[in-house]
Amino acid sequence: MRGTVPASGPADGDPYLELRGVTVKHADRTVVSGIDLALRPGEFVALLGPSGCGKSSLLHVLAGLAPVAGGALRHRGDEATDGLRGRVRVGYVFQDHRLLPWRTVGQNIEIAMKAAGVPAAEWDERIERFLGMLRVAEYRGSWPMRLSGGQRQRVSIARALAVEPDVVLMDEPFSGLDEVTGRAMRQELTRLHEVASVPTLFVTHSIREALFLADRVVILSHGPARVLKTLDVPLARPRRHEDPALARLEAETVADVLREWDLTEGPAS
Amino acid sequence: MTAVLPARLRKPPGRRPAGPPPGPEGNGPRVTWLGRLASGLTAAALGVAAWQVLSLFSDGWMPGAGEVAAATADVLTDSGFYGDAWLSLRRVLTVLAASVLAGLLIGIAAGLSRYAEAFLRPILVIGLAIPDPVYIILTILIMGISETSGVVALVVAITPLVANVVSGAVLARDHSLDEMARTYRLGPAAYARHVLAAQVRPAVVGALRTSFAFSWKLVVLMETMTRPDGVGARIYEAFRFLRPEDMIACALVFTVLMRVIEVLALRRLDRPLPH
Repeated sequence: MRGTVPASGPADGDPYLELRGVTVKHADRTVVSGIDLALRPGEFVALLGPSGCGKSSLLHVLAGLAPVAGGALRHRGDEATDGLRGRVRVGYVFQDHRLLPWRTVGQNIEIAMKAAGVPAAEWDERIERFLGMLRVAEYRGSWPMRLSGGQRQRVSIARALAVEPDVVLMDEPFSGLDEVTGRAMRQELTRLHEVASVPTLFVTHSIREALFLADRVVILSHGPARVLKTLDVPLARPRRHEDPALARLEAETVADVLREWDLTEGPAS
Repeated sequence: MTAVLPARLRKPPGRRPAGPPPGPEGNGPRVTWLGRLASGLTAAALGVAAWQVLSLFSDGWMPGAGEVAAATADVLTDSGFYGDAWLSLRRVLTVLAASVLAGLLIGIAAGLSRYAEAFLRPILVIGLAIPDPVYIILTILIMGISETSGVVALVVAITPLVANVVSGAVLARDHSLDEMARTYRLGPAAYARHVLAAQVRPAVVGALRTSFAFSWKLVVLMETMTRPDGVGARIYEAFRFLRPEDMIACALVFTVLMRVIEVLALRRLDRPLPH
């Protein structure tokens, strides 16, 4: 995996990815409306929005699964509105694991690496390394459906990192996990990001998760999504779930988000 | 980390789940192999007895069980029969291979493309509705009586069946895995091999078995109508010369042969997906 941001990276001041007024449509329906967003090299940005606001659709655009309907997309300062396919190698972690049940854990990662053009000589070492980092190395020869939900998601993250990604996109990857497993996974992800420094866009609707993981949290509106507010997370790393500063920041952000989402008169959540 | 074999060298984990299997066998006492054998023999004996009784009331047109058994022994010792059986089997395999290949291609196209599906669906529906002998007659009218026309007729008859099953399986695939494949930029060959093949495989195996069963029955029918050789021609000859015991014996031996091939060759393809 690319351990650090390449020296020949973007020109000074240019974000790795930049979205200017990006609009995304499903058929005739606008699901994302004029998003402005920048992802800097090595940065971890969380997209925080209510369910169904269009967060996943935005990731689909960045993964090349859907076209940009309006606005501009730039990659290291270069125009890329026609799509990032061919320009950027994406490691994608879906909400569900999306592993091939009829291929072993190791084979799942091999297939992704082969498609990404990772030299075959490196496969073995990469599989060992990333499965080891995510503490599922002993399941390399297992069928994915024999693993627990948390283990499958670990494998899914290992696959995303093993393809030597330029950017990692994560779509609520821990939302289906129990609290304890989710916490452990967030801790692992933080550790991995510190080692890898790959720019990461993480979609979530959990405020605490966003604050725990991200350098910056972008708060989106109800759909069609637009940016309501951007928050630089003022917490030092490594972070701990039990940190009172995190709890305080969460309380402030919740109040802020309730106001932004116009839910202050609604039922307490 | 524990030492592990390379993934390709590992044997898949055992597929037999612990405990009683689901379904009817799990709901009551298990039938032993001896019980099964006794039940099967009883059913066969009852069938033979019923046959014998019916033959007594058929004014001599229907041969008794003993006559059929003697004719069967004659068929089994007649080297000419094996030549005809091989000829029929070769036709069956030709029809099967061509119709499964054509059905696979059409079914995959219809399953992957909405436009292809819209175009092919009415053709498949009509193709499935037309009685099989009509294909044989139409092909004879167009191409004349020949080996090729018979095979073409049966391929045309069976292809819609395969295409229909395969397109259904392709349409019912897990589309979230398609998304994963596009995200990780799997090429068409890798997608077909790693994502699609495993999902379509059970339907293809099912279509293969059904097609095989249809193929050999239709080949025999085609041979009775158009060919001077093959098991079908033998059956027709026995019918023309009023030798029903030979007719039944030929059909019986060929049926057993086809069933053996099906069990030995096709059932081996039934392999559940890991879960």
